[in-house]
Amino acid sequence: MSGSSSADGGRASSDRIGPAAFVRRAMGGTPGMVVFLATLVILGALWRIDFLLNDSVTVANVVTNVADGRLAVTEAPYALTAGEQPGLVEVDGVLYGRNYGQAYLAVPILWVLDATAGVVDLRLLLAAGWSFAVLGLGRSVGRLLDRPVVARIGEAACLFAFAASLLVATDVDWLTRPRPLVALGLSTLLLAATAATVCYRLVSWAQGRRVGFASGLALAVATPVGFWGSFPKRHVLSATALLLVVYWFAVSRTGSDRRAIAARAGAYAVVGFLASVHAFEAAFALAVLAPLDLLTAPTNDRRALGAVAVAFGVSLLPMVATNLAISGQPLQPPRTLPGADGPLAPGQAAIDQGAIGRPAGVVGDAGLPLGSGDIPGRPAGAGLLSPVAALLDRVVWVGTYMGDQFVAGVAAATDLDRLYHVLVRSGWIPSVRYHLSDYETLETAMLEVLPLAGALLALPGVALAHLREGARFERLRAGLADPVRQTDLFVGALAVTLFLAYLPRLPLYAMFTLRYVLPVMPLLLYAVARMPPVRSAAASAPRTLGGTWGVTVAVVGGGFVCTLAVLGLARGEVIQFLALSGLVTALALAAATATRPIHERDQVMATALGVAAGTTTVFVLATGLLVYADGNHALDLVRLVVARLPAVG
Amino acid sequence: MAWRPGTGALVVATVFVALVLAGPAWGTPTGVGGGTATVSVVSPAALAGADAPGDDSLTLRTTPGRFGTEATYLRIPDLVVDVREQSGRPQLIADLSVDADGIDPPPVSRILHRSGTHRLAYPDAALPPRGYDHGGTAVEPGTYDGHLEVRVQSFDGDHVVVNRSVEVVVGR
Repeated sequence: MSGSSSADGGRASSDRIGPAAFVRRAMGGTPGMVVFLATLVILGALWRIDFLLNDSVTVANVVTNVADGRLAVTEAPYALTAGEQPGLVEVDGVLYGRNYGQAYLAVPILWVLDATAGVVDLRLLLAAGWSFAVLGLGRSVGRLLDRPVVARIGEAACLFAFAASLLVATDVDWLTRPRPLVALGLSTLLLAATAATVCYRLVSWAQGRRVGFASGLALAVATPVGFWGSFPKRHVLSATALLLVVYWFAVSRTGSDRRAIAARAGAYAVVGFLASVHAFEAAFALAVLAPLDLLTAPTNDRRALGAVAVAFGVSLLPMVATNLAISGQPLQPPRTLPGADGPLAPGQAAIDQGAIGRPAGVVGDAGLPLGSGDIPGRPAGAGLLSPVAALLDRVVWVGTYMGDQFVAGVAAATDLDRLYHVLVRSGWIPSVRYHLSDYETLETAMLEVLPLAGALLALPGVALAHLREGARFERLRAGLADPVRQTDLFVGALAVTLFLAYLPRLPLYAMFTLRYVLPVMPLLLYAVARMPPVRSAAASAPRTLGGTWGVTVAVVGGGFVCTLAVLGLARGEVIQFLALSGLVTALALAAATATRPIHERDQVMATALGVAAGTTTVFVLATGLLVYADGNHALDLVRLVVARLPAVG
Repeated sequence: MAWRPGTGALVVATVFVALVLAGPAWGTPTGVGGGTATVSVVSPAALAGADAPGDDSLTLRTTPGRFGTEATYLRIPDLVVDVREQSGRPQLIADLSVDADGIDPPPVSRILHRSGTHRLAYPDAALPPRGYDHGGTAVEPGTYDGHLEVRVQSFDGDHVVVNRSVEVVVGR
């Protein structure tokens, strides 16, 4: 990577014409392409065309209907009854779903898939797409390393993968209409790859390309984003959106030219679109973004604020139009409708329905941490208020609700037992309703599935060392004028706000990897990458970092398969085995980081980081291949490999 | 300068051509279809002579969960079978029923798409620890009667391979 920056920059400037060069520039150069394609290849191999949680059934049905040009769920290929679709609401006798923004992203992909249905086989189309990703990855890595032989290997691998897929191809016939779910899965996969690339660009901007490259790859394979990237849940979309908000916030701090203003407007536009997926997540993001943006922006002139207002207003249109069509109120999303509190509600109703009619591993979703169960939804057009007054009333109500949630989050943060089970160790958590997951301990804590965050345990010590080196209060205050420090502040505020907003709901069943706070995890990764011992190790000892990661994946992964074969672990035991492995490596990383001033060796830090990252990769691989899989992988080649591995008991 | 296709472009073109030539219905079905198979149990040993009269019943026991899992598990051994004279896509299905509220393992199945040895993995059934009071049904320690049935099913017929009583011992 050392020479890649200039080399790549030279190429980028010399081949600006053409879509390939445009895409490469959007990705942040060849390293960004590598991050994007590597994520697609790895998570594509883990991708299962199935449901992990039954509220995804609702969204898949929404995709089906939106593609046919209607918001109402009149066709439901993935459920026989309304009761199997948590989140479905009834308005004037018509059923509607939720997360329409997520569906809007998947529908164009579905149109393409439908257009090819009469020409090519779906399974082979997926195999071809994955093979092309392998081809592109080989070419990008060859370009990055300046070794054409790697590109040739990628081409050979592409041909081999597709040819082998031709020989063993099977139908996707466990679903009567697979394409809407495939489109939803593909959109999630592409979002995960986008998140990794944005992470690369963000950390590169703050720390340089080496650290950025490592962070981008780590987001894909060493955080739970890798777990959720291969299932069609909204959390990856939220995580990607918030990373994009942070990145554009960061870029917009660096000047007041057209590019900076566009980035600033883009940050608001992403928040606006996120509102069509989960309005309250977007509202919390806006509550953090708006004040910090106004306080730290290089300029708040009319041109900049006008661009922000226009971008935000336009980006709200998907949510406003959807809400108006369904509830008649622009700020009343389906998940807050009164009907959501009824028997079709995703809250208590979903809990009671449990895993009805779903394959093993599919459990009911407590649904909306900020949803209908808590919100006294109002009938559309309630009262005699004018539309403007009703809108203002709604805004006040949303603000009050957010304030209440935040206060509840702060109170929950004083509950040490709760914090222990959410952040440190899961095991058998007394408050969790395990009968809804067949008594399997599938829930995990933050450090167990994100051991890289273990470095943050040493943050007080690192901060103290920083102060001893001369970082006095005056310097810190002056530092806040620095765009990187401003971004640090924004990331910290956003992470704390989102975590506290969800904390009162946690720990909870069907979270798997604390999925409600998945958008916080990339922010924590950014914070880890910003720590001086980490960035120094990633920048000066990348071979040790990568090598240790590879060895860890091989050793821990091999050890896991052997343990599974010998002990015959059940599903909950597998998760806890992997969780304990993650926790141990998190504590080792914390120790290495805390003692950095003593050992003063980047190699030690790089080793600890590699081990922590590798352990999460094993978690992502084990869960993707064995634990939450049932012969439903998108790629036949993967299905054949998995059939030869020991089964989870 | 004249455009010359690189090897990458040739690879892409080759895949595209093969994709189109394969057509829209290339993949083979995965679900159960017609067909038949002769199946004999290899493991567990207690089931290997299932057709012989007077065999001992199979006893399944619970053991504590590991790695911090406080659930108790009814460990159900994998079923290893030898498949001969296979044709079509028959399905091997195993169904364990236990006369105890709270123990209800779902049936498991797999398609027998070839002759040879097949393994049918039966997920262990988790039971709640004593004192769990959030819902569900607790199972008291004791011995329960159970029944295991293994069949080969297809659109052409249904053949019983194993039809045995099972003793289920739930420990403390």
